[in-house]
Amino acid sequence: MARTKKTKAPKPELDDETLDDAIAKLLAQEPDGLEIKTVRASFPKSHQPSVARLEARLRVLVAGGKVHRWGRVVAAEPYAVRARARLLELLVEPANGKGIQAGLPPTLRLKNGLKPVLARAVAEGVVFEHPDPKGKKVPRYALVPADPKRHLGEIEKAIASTLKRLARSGVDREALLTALDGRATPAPIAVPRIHPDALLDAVLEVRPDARAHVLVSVRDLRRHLGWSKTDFDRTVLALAGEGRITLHHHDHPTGLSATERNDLVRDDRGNFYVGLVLEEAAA
Amino acid sequence: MTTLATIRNPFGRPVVADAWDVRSIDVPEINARAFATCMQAFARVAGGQGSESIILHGAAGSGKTHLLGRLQHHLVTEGAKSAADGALKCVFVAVKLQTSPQMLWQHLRRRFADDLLRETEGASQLQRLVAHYLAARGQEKDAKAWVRKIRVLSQIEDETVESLLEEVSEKARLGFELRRVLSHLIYRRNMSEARGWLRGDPLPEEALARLGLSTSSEGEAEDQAREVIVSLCRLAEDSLPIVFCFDQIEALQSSTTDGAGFLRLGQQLAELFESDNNILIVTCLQSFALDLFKDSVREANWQRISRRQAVLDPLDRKLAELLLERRLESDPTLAEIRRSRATERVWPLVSSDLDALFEGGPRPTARRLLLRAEQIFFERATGRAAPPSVPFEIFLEGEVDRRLDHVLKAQKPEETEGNLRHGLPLVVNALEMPWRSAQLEERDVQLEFESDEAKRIQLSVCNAKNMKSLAATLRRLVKREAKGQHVIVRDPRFPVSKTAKRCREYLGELEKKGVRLVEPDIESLALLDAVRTVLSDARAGDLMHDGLPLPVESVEKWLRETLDERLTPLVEDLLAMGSAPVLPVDTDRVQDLAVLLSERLIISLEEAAGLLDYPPDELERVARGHPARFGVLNGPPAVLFLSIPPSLTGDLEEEVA
Repeated sequence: MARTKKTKAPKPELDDETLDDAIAKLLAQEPDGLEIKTVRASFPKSHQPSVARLEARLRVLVAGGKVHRWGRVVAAEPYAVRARARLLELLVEPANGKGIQAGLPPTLRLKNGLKPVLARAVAEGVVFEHPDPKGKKVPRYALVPADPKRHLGEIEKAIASTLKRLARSGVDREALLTALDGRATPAPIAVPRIHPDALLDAVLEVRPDARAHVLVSVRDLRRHLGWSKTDFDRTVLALAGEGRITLHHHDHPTGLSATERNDLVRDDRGNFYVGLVLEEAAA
Repeated sequence: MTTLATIRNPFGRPVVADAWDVRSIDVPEINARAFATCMQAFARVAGGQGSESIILHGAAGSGKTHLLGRLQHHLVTEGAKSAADGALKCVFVAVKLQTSPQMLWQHLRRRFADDLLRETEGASQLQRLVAHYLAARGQEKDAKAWVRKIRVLSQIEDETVESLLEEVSEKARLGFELRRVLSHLIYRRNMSEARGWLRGDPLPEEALARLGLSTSSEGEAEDQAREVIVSLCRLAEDSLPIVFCFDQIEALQSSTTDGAGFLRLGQQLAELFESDNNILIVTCLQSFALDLFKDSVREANWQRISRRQAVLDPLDRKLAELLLERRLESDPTLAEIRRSRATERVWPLVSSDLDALFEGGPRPTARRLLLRAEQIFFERATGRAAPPSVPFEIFLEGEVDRRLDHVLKAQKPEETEGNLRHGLPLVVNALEMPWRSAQLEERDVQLEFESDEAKRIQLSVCNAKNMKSLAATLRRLVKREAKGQHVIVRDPRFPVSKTAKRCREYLGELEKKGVRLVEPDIESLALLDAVRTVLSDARAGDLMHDGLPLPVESVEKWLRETLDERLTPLVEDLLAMGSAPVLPVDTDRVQDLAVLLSERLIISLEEAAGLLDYPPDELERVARGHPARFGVLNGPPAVLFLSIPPSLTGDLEEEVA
């Protein structure tokens, strides 16, 4: 009896909506993005889309703003947003350019991508450029301003020796510093920085339709900017005080976890705010 | 002489119950932008440009339900003048989501049916829906003429309507059962049964037979509900779109971080959106839940249900004064008194009364402003300080009692399934009982509770009124392999009659397998219903006390401290805590006696024993063993009667006194 040739069953295909949803979910779990080949490999063999189809769907998702492409990598957030967040985590310890590159996950190491992100953070006063204490030309970066003490070097020694000599004449350290006419910088005090315009710009980046009177989540905005909590909260409250934004409060913040509450803006009366709306003048 | 003291406080009633409650004074300037968004979306739908959706959000008390009321008034009442049929501009459906996420379609079906059967100028919304559908497809394009035709022809039982309906069901792909029921509703025949079917109520066999329907339906209730709703949505036309308003969606959550209900809701709303081109969906929630709602819903669904977003801002000073002024002017007597003080805009209040509300902190919502204004008005009118608010514990006690009274009078046994499936997990959670609840996807087993010691109890709410449906369910449960302890719950007002032999057989078999049948008493069920709605209102920010929404955590704490004794027995009974897993040995006799007393209400023991063919002393033992359901009066002659909850007899006693 002639054997009938077995025909291979066609591979089941996910429909566009399911595939898009699966990609979005996968990327939501991988905030540092995934290489496209890894995205494909993440699907079970039985439902793996072809490279061409995956590329096609990614093009649609990228065009719709649901997925962002960083070279060979795709991710849920724009590169600038994710790189900034990572940068701020990293710079808890000061690092130079090489150190920053090495500290970032491989997907975020874009040759020309990081520079503008770093430059913007410095311009906004979120990240500070420190001169190398050894006088090399390579700057270092950190989340706090440079400590002048580390750069006084010989001057410190000179002041100490001058003080020693003048002590017999009744001149103390305070008198000497006064004589220096305030040129000796006092220890930096952590005064919150207010960046109203930067925040308003960021509102439009997070929600391009913010001018149409929509609520912008302070959680999303905070993540986008990556500022310190004090700076962010103060700036938001200052803008509300000036009537440039309207704040929407949370009725039951006690029902939230400490982390969730920390994402909200808190005023000095203990009210928590979940979002803001641009007032017409600001919009 | 008329003084302020004799005038009703114009700032009362700051909470709007639902979208049909239009007794509150409306100030169109408040939330004008959000309202305009709704009207623009409606105009697009009515202009044939496809379905639309809006997410409407704001703080508790910012006026979400009030805005729905304004929309309803504008589209339904005001809109009548410009409607294509001269009476109805849209079918308006308002739904508060106080339900289990697993019963969303059934919940919507009930509300949709109720709204569809509302009458407008002699014709129900459903009749008009059919008329507009025909107008869009027939040679006669005048919807008004079609409405008239259907109304007149159906009254004289003209068979033309039947053929028109045939045409509608063919074009709109309506199922056989829906087609049959539409015919009854349009001819106004067997209205009670047809209304019950449309709502998805469990119907007895005789009722189904009167409708000409099969006596047992094998489909899942949730799937059937979806099918009915989606089919009805296909009848919507440009000239008569359907507007669905979903309020209090936070009531779907079991905790502040629970997004599972939102996921299901997103799916439902997207399906509604896709069901036809003439659908407008408005979803209301508190702003703080917006992030979680968005994160929980599938991206593709989010795109469908949030085509527009509108935010309800807190009041600024100008709007606050306007609201006060409009309220003050709403009372003609007060307006007359105020005429002599034309320069004082908010007299007897003064502008500085508002200072405290606008100094620091969040700007006030309309509800908060009105509550404060109510106090100030009282002080100015009486010269006395406003009475201090009662402690929230007293307030909650009164609130639960008030709702319990209402539920006892209005509760229908058909709604017990929804009540249990939504309320039981909420109460177990609130009482901090050592059980974790989960909603199951299984057709006949809906709830599961797992204890810290890995003890598992599964609950089946078997509330079919139709004995054939009940038998089918019980048959499936007999075949099902037990996963932990199994409890069947049924409303005691639906006793299993003696003629339902298959049901009794299956119950017997289940008994042998260790399954337990629980028929909670009516008062416990009513209490669960009352508590469930209080918790839902609190979660949605609509339970106000002393000018502020009461946090759900406070309500839960109060429940633990106060209602623990009243709620715990019900929960323990249902979860079979500490009891042996057996059916009560008297199941058949209890059911027989319940059926007999549901017909006779009161009967001598001897006659009952004769009718049921039981020894009298045996029957008396059964009755005395279930004091929540049956009463016994010592004789001679001894009398049996159907027990009625004391809270219901209270009114009766007062009337007699």
